[in-house]
Amino acid sequence: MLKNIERPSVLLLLGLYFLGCFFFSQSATANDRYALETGKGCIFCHQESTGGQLKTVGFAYIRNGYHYPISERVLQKAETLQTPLHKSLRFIVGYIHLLAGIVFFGAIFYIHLFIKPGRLTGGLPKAERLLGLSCMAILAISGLYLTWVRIDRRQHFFDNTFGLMLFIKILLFLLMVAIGLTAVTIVHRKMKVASHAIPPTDSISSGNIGSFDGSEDKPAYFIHDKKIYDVTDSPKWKGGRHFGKHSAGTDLTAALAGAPHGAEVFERIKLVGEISGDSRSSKGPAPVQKLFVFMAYTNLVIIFLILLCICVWRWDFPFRLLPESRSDAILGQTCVDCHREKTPGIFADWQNSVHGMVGVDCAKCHHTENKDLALTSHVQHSSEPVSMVVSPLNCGGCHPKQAEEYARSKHANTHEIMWKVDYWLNDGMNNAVERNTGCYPCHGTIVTVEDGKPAPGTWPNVGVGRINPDGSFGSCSSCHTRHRFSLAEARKPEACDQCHLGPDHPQIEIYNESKHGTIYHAEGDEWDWHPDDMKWTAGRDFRAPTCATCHMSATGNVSATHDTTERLSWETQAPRTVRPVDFRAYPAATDWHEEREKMRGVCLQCHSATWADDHFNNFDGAVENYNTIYYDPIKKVMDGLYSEGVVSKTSYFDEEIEWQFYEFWHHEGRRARMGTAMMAPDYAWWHGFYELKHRYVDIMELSEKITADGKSKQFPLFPGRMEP
Amino acid sequence: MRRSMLFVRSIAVIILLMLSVPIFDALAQQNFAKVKEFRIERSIPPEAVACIECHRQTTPGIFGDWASSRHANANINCLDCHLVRSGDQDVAKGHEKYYARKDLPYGEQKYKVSIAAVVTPKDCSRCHPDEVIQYSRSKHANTIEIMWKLDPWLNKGMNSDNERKVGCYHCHGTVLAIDDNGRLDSTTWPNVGVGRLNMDGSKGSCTSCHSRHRFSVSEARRPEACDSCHLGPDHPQIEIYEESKHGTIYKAFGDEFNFSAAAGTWSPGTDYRAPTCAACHMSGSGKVMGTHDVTERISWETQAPLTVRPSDFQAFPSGGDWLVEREKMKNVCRACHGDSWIDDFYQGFDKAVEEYNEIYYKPAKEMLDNLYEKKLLDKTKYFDEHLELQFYELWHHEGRRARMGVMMMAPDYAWWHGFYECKARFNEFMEEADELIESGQAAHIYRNYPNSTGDTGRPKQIFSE
Repeated sequence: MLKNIERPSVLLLLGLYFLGCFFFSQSATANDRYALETGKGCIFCHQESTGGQLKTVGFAYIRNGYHYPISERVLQKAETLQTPLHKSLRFIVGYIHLLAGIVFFGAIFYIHLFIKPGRLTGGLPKAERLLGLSCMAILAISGLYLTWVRIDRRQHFFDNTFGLMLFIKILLFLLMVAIGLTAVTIVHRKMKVASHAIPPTDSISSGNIGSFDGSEDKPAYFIHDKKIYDVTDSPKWKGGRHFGKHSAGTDLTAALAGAPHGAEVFERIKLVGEISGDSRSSKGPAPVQKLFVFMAYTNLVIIFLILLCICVWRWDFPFRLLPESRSDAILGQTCVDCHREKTPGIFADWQNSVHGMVGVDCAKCHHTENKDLALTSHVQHSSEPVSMVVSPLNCGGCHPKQAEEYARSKHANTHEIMWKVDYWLNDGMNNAVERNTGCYPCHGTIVTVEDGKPAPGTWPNVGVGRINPDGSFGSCSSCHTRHRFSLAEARKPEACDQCHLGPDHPQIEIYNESKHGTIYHAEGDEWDWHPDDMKWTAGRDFRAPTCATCHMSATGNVSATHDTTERLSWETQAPRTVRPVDFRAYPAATDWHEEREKMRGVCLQCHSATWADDHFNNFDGAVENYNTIYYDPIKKVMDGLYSEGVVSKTSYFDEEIEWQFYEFWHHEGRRARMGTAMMAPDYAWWHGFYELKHRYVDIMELSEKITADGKSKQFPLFPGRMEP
Repeated sequence: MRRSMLFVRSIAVIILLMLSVPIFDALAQQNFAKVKEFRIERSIPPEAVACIECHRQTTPGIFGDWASSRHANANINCLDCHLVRSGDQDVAKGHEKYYARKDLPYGEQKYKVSIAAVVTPKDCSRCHPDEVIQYSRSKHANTIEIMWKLDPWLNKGMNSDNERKVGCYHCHGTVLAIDDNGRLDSTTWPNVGVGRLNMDGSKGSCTSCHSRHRFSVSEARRPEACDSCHLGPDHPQIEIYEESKHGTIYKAFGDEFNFSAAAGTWSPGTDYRAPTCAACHMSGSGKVMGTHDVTERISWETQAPLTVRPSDFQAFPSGGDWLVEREKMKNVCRACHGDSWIDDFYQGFDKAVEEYNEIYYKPAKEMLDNLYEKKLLDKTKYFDEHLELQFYELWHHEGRRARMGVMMMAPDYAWWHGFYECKARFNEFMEEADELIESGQAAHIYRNYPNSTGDTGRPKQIFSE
């Protein structure tokens, strides 16, 4: 079939096709921030949890004007429109709409350029009326369908540029149709009547000669050198047109100069007479004819305006006439404009973040409805009420799973744990300054807002257990630092090492000394911390695990978690090692068998079952060793000293033996257990059991001395105690 | 007529093209990068293909590591290292048991082969004979023997078996054994200690430094390969290195170094601008040949209580001559330093060793022997009296830090963690000893020394005589 069509036609068709594709291709822009409004995660609207292609419900959300919940009607319609059949239908209707528009506009341009509306005052030709009417009908019907496809609610016309332009375009089109219909009906009829009242030949002038144009059974006259000739019956003047170039009803004196013949031909045609003496017509055109010319020019202007409307929405007018959601768009823009100058560090970090890429702007996280939390100093130069503290409650709007898991972890609840376990706090043995600079940077403060800003002493703070003014616990930016909020960062051990270090819980030192850590330090810079398929895989992306790999990330059959209490089978930080479910300060709701199976599943990515099982054997052995051989006997001695009353119970740390016991479990005891758990022999032995042995014999010797003396020496002055 | 046909056909073509739009739309949605795929298309036996196909799913970490190793490049597959005869004692029982299942989730019965979990230097020697020979005569391979000949913890049974396993043996190595069920004895496994005694009689583990399953030469050239063992209060070689100018340059510029040069071609200046542990102790440099025997190039045993020449180190006398070895090390230095720099450095080192020996160690040792002789200290156990611990830390901790800190030019370790601490310890030790002598009262003995339950029997496989 194609063979029969000439090559130029094929090229033309293909050209049209690609042009069509270009016009109808939809540029999709992901917009994460809407999750906060809906309370749904990204995955609700998008194919991927991090964004990407929209699902039907995502389209429906946009159609609903970025409002949630979405009505059943809108949802169903979005579903229908996503089917290939409907997409094709819309494509075809759109094509026909364009075609009809071009034909219609073309016809109007033709009239204005070649025929001149003034010449049609005698009435419109039948063919043109038919073309105009059918084009208008097609445009109206196809336009109605296309509008139905795009517009779901009345407000859709007034809350974005496209809608506004479409609305104006429809108004203009309706006006045009009204004018057109008037023109081809009432005006046309009246003009016909007016033009059929042919003036007497003696009163023909250059002003009214237009009535003798030869159309529709009227005589065809023209003027040459003030003489009037009749060509009504001439075969060369059919319908009043001469070779398609000249029309009857005009003065052709000047036109003769360019003609292939001279004035001699006029001798063969009928001379009617001479034009009347006054060059101006005494009568002039009828008012209805004037009206018609006016209407014709009005329609031309309307066409220009309609094309302008299309251009404004299609090729992105440089100013947003109506932002998609007025308040958000204006505010988001203002934050960036100002903070780019004021805090270039924050701005650049955000710009390089995924948040920056998908348009999660400042207001999405910092905006607050609660007047009590709003930062007063900010309100002074911006109408946006912002909270300085962004909490997991804010983040949970888009990352609900992560926030929920985090909320039940030991991380989020470290305040409760600390107060239930720790002597420093409960006995007031250190003061506010020491707590704010020592304990709370990691464990978190209780942040309160006073006089429109976070109260001094509670701020700045990004502790994992921070208690936020909105009542939520913790801070996501402890590990995903501001304002980059990077996944890759939290996967690296450095994310943890600001807190998990030092004499009392040296997890990072232990990790660094383990073979896992040494491989990370040697080769980590070659690893892929953020693979494109989002599945961070052992062997492919990294060859030794980091803190996150074992404790948090998804691997094999083990799913990802932000609850770091998962996968733990022992509480190695407790004075006496217990199962997480028995940890009284914060009992986990887990079963250690299950959790160990999870951790084992992580090991099995790179190790055999024997290797993993025997490692856990070692670990259990070390825990047992610590509990029964070191902790229990010393605890018994301590309890004995307290019950005998030779060591005072009033304040902890004010007697030498109390220090010794504290460091025994809190320092060396943890190092031994954690060193074994993470396979760092130097910590298991030299900083662990080796030191435990020293401490054990020292405590025993001291206790014997105290028992012999009948009392232990109390430190008379204890520096830096909490003011009562 | 012809014109109207053309018109009809044109409309038909346009409609067809329009209908194809949704199809193109669907194709355009796949906007994610293609995931890296490993394909096995090479001439290896079907059993080996079966290993790979199964383990890429069950242990993707092992598979991924192997797939990007030189072994994979050279077609060396799982069987080349893990294959054993079916009757061998070290056959992996779990693996056999898997094939006994009726419902095999992976693999097929016909691909069943016997394998061992433990791969030893003997296995590696089939392709790398020189490296294994050198390694087997090193202090690394023989560290169990050295440890048992020197260490009071083991010989006096002052720590427990589990403490040894999670502490000492992790680096020094276990004596591998099979338990009653024919499985690897869980008190000896998992282990990759450099001195591990394997069931085939070979010593050590190549994967201590060339970690599984990448077995990379570039990894072992980096200081991180050594630092999970050569660290801590008693032999902080990695901390010393990191504080030395060599180490600080490595930290600053190491990511620009070329660690993956072919074996035997890794050159100072072109591939790296500061040496790592391997560069001085193992890699070839100038006229010096590369070696896997780390006892080479050493002119003092700085880890011994009294510093001696390696050939005089009683626990494991080297067969070398220290003058020859020092010349080797000097040649390594010469790649970047002038002769007077090198000679004057060694003068400082020798002086520090002499001072440590004469001024700190010998007088303290004399005092300790004196106390034992006077029965003021009890010889039955070690560590159960405070002075014994003081003496131990004097040579085993500060004494080593001072000597090793000088040796590798880290002044902080030489002085603050070294001689400074030696002085403090020496004075305390002497004061406490003097008190004992003055009072004539025997030192306090810690009764119930915790967890002093370790086996004091030396491993028969090594101490057969």
